[in-house]
Amino acid sequence: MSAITVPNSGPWVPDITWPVLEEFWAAAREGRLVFPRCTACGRYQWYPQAMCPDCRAMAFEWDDVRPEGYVFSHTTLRRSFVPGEDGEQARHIVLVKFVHVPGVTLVTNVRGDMAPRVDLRARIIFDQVAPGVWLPVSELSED
Amino acid sequence: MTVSPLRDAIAIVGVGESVYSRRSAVPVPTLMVQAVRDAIADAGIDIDEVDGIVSDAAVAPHLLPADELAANLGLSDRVFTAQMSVGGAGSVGAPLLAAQAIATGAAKTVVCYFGVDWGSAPGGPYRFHGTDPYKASLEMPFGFYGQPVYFAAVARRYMHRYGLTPEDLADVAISTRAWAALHPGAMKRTPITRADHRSSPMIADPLRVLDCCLLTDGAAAFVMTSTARARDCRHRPVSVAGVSFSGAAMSGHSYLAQHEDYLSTPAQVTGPRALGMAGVGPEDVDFAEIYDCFTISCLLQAEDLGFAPKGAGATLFADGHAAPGGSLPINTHGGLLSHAYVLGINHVVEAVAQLRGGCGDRQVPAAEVGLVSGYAAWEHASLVLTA
Ligand SMILES: [Zn+2]
Repeated sequence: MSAITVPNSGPWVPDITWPVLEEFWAAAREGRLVFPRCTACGRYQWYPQAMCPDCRAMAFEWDDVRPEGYVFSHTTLRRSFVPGEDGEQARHIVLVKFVHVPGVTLVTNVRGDMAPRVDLRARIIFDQVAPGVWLPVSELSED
Repeated sequence: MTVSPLRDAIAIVGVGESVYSRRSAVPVPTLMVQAVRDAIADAGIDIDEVDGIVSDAAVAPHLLPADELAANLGLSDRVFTAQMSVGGAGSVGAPLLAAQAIATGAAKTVVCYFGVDWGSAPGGPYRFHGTDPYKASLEMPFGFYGQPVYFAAVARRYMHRYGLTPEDLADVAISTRAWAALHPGAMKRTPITRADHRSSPMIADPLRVLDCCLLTDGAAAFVMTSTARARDCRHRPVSVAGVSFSGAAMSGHSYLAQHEDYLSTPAQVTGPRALGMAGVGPEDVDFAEIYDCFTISCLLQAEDLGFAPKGAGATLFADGHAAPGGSLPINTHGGLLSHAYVLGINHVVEAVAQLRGGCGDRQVPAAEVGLVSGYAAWEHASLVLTA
């Protein structure tokens, strides 16, 4: 796997040219949420890897999924450990799972200032954070 | 059930520990050499009798590779070297490697060593995650970076599932600190209260500073040999009655965001296996040294090892069972939370000290069976030691 270029000061922006996730970021630019799916057995594999651990096939296709998930867990960060980022902060982080996409957890921040709770609905939208770089973010709502 | 040929095949006969500090004036690799020397001296054997070296596979070998350790010790015919696990399960599982080598005659006397410089090294324990391209792409942009943040999400899920409260977490830290107060070598010895926990800075909700392990520069080592040879060593041998390792289908890339349920650890596999190998059950364990990188991870393993039903681990601490004088002492040296964060080799050293007797104020009465639990998220080792 090729090395990845990382910025040395925050906020942390992903290197969207890393081949393993190129299609994920390309879809994000278009407002689409995609995950790799085994072409043999249909299992979603997140994060990407060479082999499907269920059926041991080695071919995946990026599959468009409905960007409607729920909060599986969450935390509110008061001190960031990310290099170059301001230590003090209050950032909500949610771990989102999707009923129709088993086995996938997506880490995002939260749009607006709604405090996260387990089982809140999370709709994934995308925010531009740098030229050509769109990050998923969760819009939370009650049922 | 057939008895494992490795049951009671080897014993731990010597232990050595450096001073633990946030910033060591002595380079950590030097501390590691000293700890090995001290462990061999503690066993009362000659350095030249050591012919095997084992360690974790991720941390110790990067600071001081086995060949460099051998060169320092002047070992002229090292016949066995092996490493296992990323960090936390390594030193606890290492007796499994030594037992195989010694029981088959491949080696006679094996030393396990460990050292870590995360107290003073830039980036500390987080740095190795930052070089992972998956984390750099899919987690760091959102601030999901560093073990306290991962385990905060674990704790939050557990709270949702079982109604755990911040006070429950505080009780783990308080009990562990009470033990550390009795250990002259512990880094943090001042007793704490729920109020201290409540006022300790929040790192990642719900985990506060007092829910997180220390940061430490330090080293430790222990020496293993056959049960027969152990009888000639200086101290009463401590027998390796059971040991088990298990790694789940997860890697450092997906740790810990992609964990399936956040409520269990591979201790639920290794605990029963190691206890079964030793021919005992959780009710026979006199004390336990559990990998407490965070208050929540200690609770998860205590449950998975069979000391409490799932979701009820907090009662061990709230009701004083785990504290000094309790019915199931846990982390009798102060653990990673208050003794030192040397990734569990201190848990092995403490278990040996308890089983030898002579731990003074913190001695567990009539300690005959100790369980050590080593954890590295998707890997786990359980070690049953007997007097
Ligand atoms: Zn498949």
